[in-house]
Amino acid sequence: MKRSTILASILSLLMSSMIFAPLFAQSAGASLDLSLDTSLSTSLLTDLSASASEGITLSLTVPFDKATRFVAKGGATVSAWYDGASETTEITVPTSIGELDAQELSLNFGSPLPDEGLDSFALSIGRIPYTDPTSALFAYRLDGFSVRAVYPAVNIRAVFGFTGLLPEAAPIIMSTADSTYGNNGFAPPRLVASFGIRSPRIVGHEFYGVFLAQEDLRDDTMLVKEYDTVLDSTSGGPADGAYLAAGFSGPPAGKLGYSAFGAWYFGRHLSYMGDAGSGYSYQFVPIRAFSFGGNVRYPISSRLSMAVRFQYGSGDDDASSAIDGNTAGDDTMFMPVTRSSSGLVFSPQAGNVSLVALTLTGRPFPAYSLGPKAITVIGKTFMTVKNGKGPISEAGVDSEAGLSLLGIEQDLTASVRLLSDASLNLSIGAFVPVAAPSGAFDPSYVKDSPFQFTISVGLSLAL
Amino acid sequence: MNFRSSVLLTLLVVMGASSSFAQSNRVLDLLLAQKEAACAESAYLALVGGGWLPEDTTPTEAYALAMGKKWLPKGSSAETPIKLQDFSLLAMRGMKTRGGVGWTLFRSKRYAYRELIARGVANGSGGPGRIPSGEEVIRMIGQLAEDGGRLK
Repeated sequence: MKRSTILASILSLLMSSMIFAPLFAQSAGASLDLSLDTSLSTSLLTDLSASASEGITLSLTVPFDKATRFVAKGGATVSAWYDGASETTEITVPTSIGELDAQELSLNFGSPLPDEGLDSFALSIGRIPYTDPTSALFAYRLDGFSVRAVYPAVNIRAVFGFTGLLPEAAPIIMSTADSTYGNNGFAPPRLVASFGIRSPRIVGHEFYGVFLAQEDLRDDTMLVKEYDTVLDSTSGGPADGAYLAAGFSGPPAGKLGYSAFGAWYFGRHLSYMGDAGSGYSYQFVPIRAFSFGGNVRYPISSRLSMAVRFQYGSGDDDASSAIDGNTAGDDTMFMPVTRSSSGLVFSPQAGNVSLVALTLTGRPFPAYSLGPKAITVIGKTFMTVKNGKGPISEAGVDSEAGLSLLGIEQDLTASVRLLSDASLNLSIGAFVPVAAPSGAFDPSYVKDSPFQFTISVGLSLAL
Repeated sequence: MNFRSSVLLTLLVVMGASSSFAQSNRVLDLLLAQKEAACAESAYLALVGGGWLPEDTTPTEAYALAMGKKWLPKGSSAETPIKLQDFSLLAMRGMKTRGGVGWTLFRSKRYAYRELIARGVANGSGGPGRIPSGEEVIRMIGQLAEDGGRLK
């Protein structure tokens, strides 16, 4: 069965369930929520661009009994984007089934099972949201299942899912073949499996370990094969790999909170590199990469709190690009399954980058939960550093630059909950790249883009 | 100051002290004794608090007015335990409270319930079908009276 047929069936079920749910919503305790998000933004990188978007999201929760409930959440976005470089305007309207955003469609069971010695047991089947315990490896959705068993001494969670029915815009880009993948708007097909254990609180701390593996399910004919001698810039080998991670969080002692993690990325990667003969060919090499990070949170007062986050990702000094770029030896570029975002303007991936982020959150009138005084202001300062020679995920960087500053970004977000169902948001971000030799960016890039910023205004209605 | 004194003081400020304060006191006693708040006493508190009826009204008269205005569900009696979402509509209407876009457009119990949750007046942990206690009803009306319909 074609993927579009499968997804069409799923979305039909989603839509029909949302239509019929209100008929028994009152008696069954079901809830149906609609949210409308309007956004206007403008950005300056090398040229000015602007965009406007309107998004609609429907959420439905239907409890069947105390332990079982059905959850559906999905939506679509219409947007217009003006590109200053080409002086063109593009309007995007969802036209294929894959462009509708089915965020969640799951049947959930959760209950204590005292006869089995379980404090609680939870099972979710369908399209489920999943974020790994470190939040640095996978944070998106999967089509599959999640099982969580909470014993008095240990908390176990297993997740198994498929990515091939997710939308093309899914942030899963682990290879050149992923970047160029196109199949009616669907993401590249992968199997993702995760198994994690978490301790109960020990002196206020929780410890966890997680194993996460992902396998490329594309047919060999769609990928470059080992020992091929011609470099293929539009494709590559399978991106199979696994992660072993551990971390802790705590403590509730005092007001200070903190957490830390370390992740080891291993597997094999097809790299185009010099072979035993006189030429070049694709060869499998081991992946040996790692990342670690942590954060500290401290509420200074009822009006102000601060947090500091740090993350380091290993790089590859012989790589020609951040994806499929290894040219010699092991592949040491750290790459999570899903791409993450940090700053509003500059958001490099973890490979070969260190990130320090200081966040200050202020609520000048903490007693107000609604109205103009119900304002939350968040200031974030990012300092990003290139860890060594080699590329990073972003353009304009001098790959020969060693340990050096990429730049500093300042973001400011203000959100006001004007009414119980309406909130207004204003975000401003500014990034200053630093050129080599004191920094990591190519001087010509910095000359063209010495100052980059973005401003956006959004209005959200939750009806 | 104990809970009862706080509530009485709030309601005194809202309603204004008068000779008929004894009636209010009797209704508060009835509500404080109710583990599941009844429609009639809840209607009395919301309608007297909102100035729709004088304090010497009986809970039965308040219930009749609320039913007439369709602020209570069809088929409910004066003694019927009131669901949180039904109380939300009664309280929002009775206390003449302003609300968000949904409430302004539709004036339904769905948006009344969401309004009380967003204001931190109601505890939504048991869902809209939960039956609040009489004490909880007094606290919620007191909080709405204190807010005076302001957005806070």
